[in-house]
Amino acid sequence: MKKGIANWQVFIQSRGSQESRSRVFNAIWAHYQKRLLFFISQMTGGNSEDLFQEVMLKVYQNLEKYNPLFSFNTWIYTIARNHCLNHLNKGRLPAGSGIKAGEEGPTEIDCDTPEDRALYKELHQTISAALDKLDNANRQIAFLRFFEGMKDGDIAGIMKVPAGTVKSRLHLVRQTLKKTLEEYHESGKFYP
Amino acid sequence: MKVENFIREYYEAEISNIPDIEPMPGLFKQEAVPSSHQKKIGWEDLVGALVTLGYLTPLLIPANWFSFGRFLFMFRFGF
Repeated sequence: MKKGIANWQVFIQSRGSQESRSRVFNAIWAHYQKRLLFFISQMTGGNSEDLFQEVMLKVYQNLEKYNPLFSFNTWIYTIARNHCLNHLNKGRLPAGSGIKAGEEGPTEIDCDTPEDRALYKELHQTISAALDKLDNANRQIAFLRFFEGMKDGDIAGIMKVPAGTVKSRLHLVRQTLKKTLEEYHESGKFYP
Repeated sequence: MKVENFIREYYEAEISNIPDIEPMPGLFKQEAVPSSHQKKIGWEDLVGALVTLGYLTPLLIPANWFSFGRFLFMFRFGF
């Protein structure tokens, strides 16, 4: 399910019986749990699991309001972002950089040699540090674009800014990350 | 490889390291849905349907000028 949940599937099943509603919510949960938790943790830092559960409850309660003419991906991230912003505005949570894989980097790495593994971990930490340097809004934009592959218009809808602003921010993010990763230009395997 | 691909790989590695989360108890149950979202037919709906039928039936049989006048009258005085 690389592209997520089908819009019409959510629309039709959320209006069906309790079982079909639960079934579609199960699919939503399975697909979004980790990515949404990561997004929320990027926004808020701290204990993001409670916030994630609240967001999912909101999604469950409002499934019937979803309009299938718009992307479900955009809809769910808009709910998550608005909910987090409410919490941040109330001063319940400090804004932070969120979940981290740990000092050692990712646990499962597909590398042949120890040198590659070390290089990969180093690269992972460099990217992590580079993303930490970005401000909160730019970090969200980077996630929505680079991981979720959203278009400028969709990101603009979630962030409630004009599409031109998203474009210029993405350019800034790319430049910042490129500068940080410049030292990896030479290493053939990771940056040919 | 582009910067975008590096970042995507980073995100994928980070996200795959997050453990599975269980839904909080009761989330999938009907109680989690607020009563305003639950579809329930109350006695008000039945009375409303009966009254509506009472208004509409004379309009349908027979369809003549008398019933049309009554139809307009309904909007003027609300009954």
